[in-house]
Amino acid sequence: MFQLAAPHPGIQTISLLPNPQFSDGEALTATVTPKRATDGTLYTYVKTKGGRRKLNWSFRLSRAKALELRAFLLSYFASKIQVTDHNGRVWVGNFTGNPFELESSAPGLDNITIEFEGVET
Amino acid sequence: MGIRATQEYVAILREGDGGAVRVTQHYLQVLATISTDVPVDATSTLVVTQLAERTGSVNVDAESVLVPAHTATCNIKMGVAESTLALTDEAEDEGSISFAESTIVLTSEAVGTGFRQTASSELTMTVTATAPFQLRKSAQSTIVLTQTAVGHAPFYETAESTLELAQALVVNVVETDAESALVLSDAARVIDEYELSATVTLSLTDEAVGMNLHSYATSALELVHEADSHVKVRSATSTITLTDTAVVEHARLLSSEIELTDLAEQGILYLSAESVLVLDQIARDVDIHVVGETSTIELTDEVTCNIKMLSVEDTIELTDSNNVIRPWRVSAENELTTIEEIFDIDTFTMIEVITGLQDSASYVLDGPREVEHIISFSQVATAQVDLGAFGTETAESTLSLTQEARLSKQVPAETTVIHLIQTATAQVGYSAVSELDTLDVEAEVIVVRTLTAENEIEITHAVSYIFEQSDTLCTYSPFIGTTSDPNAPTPPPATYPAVHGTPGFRLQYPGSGGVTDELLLRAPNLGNRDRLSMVRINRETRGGTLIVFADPIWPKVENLLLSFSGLSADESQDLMTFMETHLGEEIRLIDWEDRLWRGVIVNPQEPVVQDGPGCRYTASFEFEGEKV
Repeated sequence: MFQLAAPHPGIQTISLLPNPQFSDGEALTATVTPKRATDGTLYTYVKTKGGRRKLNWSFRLSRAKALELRAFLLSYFASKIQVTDHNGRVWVGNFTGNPFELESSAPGLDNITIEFEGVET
Repeated sequence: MGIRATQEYVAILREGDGGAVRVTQHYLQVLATISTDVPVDATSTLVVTQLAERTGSVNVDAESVLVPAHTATCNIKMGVAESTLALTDEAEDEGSISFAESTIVLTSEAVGTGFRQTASSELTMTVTATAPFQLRKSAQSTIVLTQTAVGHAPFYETAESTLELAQALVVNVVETDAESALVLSDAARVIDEYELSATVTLSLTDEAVGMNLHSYATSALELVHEADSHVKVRSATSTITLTDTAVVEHARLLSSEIELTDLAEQGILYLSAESVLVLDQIARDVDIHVVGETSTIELTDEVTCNIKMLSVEDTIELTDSNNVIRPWRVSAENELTTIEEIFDIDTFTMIEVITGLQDSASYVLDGPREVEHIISFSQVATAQVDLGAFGTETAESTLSLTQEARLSKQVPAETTVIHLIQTATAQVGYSAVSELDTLDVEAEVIVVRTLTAENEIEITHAVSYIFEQSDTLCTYSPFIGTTSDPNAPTPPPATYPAVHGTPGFRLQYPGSGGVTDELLLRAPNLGNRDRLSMVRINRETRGGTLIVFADPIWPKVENLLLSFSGLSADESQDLMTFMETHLGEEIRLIDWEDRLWRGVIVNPQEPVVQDGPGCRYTASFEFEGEKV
């Protein structure tokens, strides 16, 4: 079960979602900029993001649950969110995807992909 | 029957019935026996007078010994046996250097052996020894009295023993001691008896009076009061209570005075005289009103010693205080002068001139100053005694005198007055200049300001909950709690309008008000998109922290990307006509779920494609608006 709670830390609203589809992703946000000098020396410039990671989940929701998620996004798209993913890991961060698209893949079913950046607590 | 008996003869005055008399030289025995069955009292009265006289003899003793035996026996039931014995024993001696002795041995016994009878034995005895006007002779009177009441194993009976003894000794002889020794033993014991108590009551009055000169009257009272009990589970208690009580009724003065004078005098050499007096006195007044209560204790403790070779110590503490009133004057002078030599034009000589500053300070102490003068005086005097053969003792008299005078003064804060005298001496032909340097005064003020620091902490609270049900994951069921944060975003609606399908898709004009133009289409194809585009700011700090902000008044754009297939040629043309007619105008959109939107079509240039013959036109457009 997937849980969205907002706003963090004074959580007022909680939405429960089914587990996301496969192909979910988790990536680092730190960047490395390599620079090579004329003598061949390689210099790397690292920029960390405080341990923040970028996650994306794809959900296949019923129409009603999709409307609930839609309403949740409209309310807390700019707020800090606490996400408890399907693995039980708790993340605190923000939705970074813009726009959010709900696509009707089948009658009564909607697909949506959420991009999220946050820190695991 | 009457009998007169002397030592020489016996005369029977009248012969009685049934009696027998035996007379010898030394004793007289009367046998009288009454034998009868009727209750008759048996009375036996015996009066014996024995006289022994010696007249005109020297160093001859007059002795008179009388041993009477007097018995009354009664074996009759319900009768009373009485035995009264009156005996007078007198011994007189009128000669000089002789002793008069009188000894009485008396045994009185009453035995009751029957049941429920009482055995009583009363003995009244008066012994008097008188020695009138004799010199250096002592009068002794000794009474040895034993009284016993024995109850052999009676049940519920009481054994009582009452002994009253009065002994008085009067001596009127000069320089003769009068001694009165009273030894009294009263014991009551209960052996092997249960639930009985052993009680001893002892009342003693001991008085000794000496009325002659140079005589000492001594009264020693030793009282031993003891109660023993050998029976188990009993306590042995010995209590001595001395009570001095004076009771006055009817509002009179109640007073109880005990005056004790404990005087110990010692006339023996090399002994010390001690007198210790411990006295407790309590006066109580119970339930008497308007009555004064007085408790007076007067104690006189005197130690008198007339014996030589004893030291006498006496300590005298004297305190002498003197107050001295005098003014104190303290002065100090400080002269800051210089001596200069100047030329005197009058005398044409060099003279010395004193110039400079003079500074003086004086202070007068006002008021008196107390001077404490303590004198400690101690004197020890030792007497000198000439003991003859024992030697001569020296007499010492030591007088130590220590005098100490202390002055305590409290000097107040001194005030110094500085008088500045400036003198300028002018010389003829020269100007005298005296300059006083400018005095700089610097005042430093340190301002301490009170600053107020305020710190407000805003504390908000939020409550959220989860109520998980079986259809939670597929129904519109957000769990919305509460929060006190005023800046919290508006939560999503708790309920959402039910989604129910409607046959068709409608485009209406205008966006609000009455519909003037309407286009009805089939439901869009699957794969339609509901796009939410919100304006927000995403920034990363130097540390990589992501900051997301969106003002609530910033727009939230909702787009519907719809595609319609299977349209007929007329439907496709009507759609393009509708879009052309209302380009850029707000229209209403009622979707396939009967939801109402209000917005505009933003991509009218999207082509309508004919995928095949017949009704195979496909059209698509993007609607931007908001759900009403």
